[in-house]
Amino acid sequence: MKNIDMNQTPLKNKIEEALQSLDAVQRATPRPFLMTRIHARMNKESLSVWERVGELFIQPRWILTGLCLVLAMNAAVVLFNNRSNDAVVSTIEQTNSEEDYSTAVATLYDFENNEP
Amino acid sequence: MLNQPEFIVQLKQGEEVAFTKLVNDYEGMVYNTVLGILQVPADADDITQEVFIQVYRSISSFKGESQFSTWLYRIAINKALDYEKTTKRKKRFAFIQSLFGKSDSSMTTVPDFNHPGVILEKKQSSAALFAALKKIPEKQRIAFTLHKLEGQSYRAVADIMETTVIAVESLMARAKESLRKELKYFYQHEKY
Repeated sequence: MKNIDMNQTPLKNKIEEALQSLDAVQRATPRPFLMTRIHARMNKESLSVWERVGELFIQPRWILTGLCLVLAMNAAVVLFNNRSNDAVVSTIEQTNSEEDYSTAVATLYDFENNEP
Repeated sequence: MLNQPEFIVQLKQGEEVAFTKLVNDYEGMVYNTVLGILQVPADADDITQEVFIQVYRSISSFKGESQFSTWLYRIAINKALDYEKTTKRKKRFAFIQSLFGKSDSSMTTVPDFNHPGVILEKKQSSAALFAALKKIPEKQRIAFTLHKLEGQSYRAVADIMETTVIAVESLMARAKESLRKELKYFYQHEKY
């Protein structure tokens, strides 16, 4: 029992010391030029909606995102156009080959073409 | 300090001189209170700015039913507590993100706080006290901060917290008890 008390006393002292550590504490003060920072903040907050939107989009990450988006859109358009052209060419080729091997000659049935 | 009613009238009229005077006279009071609650100097500086901006914008709502400083203390405490809740929410979100492999270490590390107004010999014990303060219930913490850090009387604390002197006495007794428990745990498990 005596040993426990011996161990508890320094602990209690430390706790009481910590509790009293704020006695005679000095008031903390903010960094200098607080008024200037408040004014800057007020001016920033009073910007119009368009100014805020503008300010947002001049950030490098937004510029980079915009650039990537434009590049991706361009790449998509180029790829899409290439595929469309291939489709048109293959359709024309198919039509031509069909006409080449066609046995029906439309000119035989033309009324105007009476000549043998 | 300016005569209070005249000073308030000037503030309500949006006079720049009155606002500058307000900031100069009360910056220490607001900053010290907010710092005691948040325990992060950069955050306390930010919230101090917000407090003065809110005072400037909402001075018309001050009816003079209480002392101006009481009203200012309430704004500072509310702002600090709101900020603290937002930060805790972000920390929880960061923790969830860390579970999925996306961790933001800046959000999860809390440095030991040393109040600049504490004398050198008491720095270590006050750091333990501030760490313990973060763990006790909000009302006890506010009462303790206002009384011990700001040197406000129980009467003034009661006015700020919109309660009775007896309730403040009870809050202070419970705050000390909670702090003793936290400090005991701290010294036994961390650094003792």
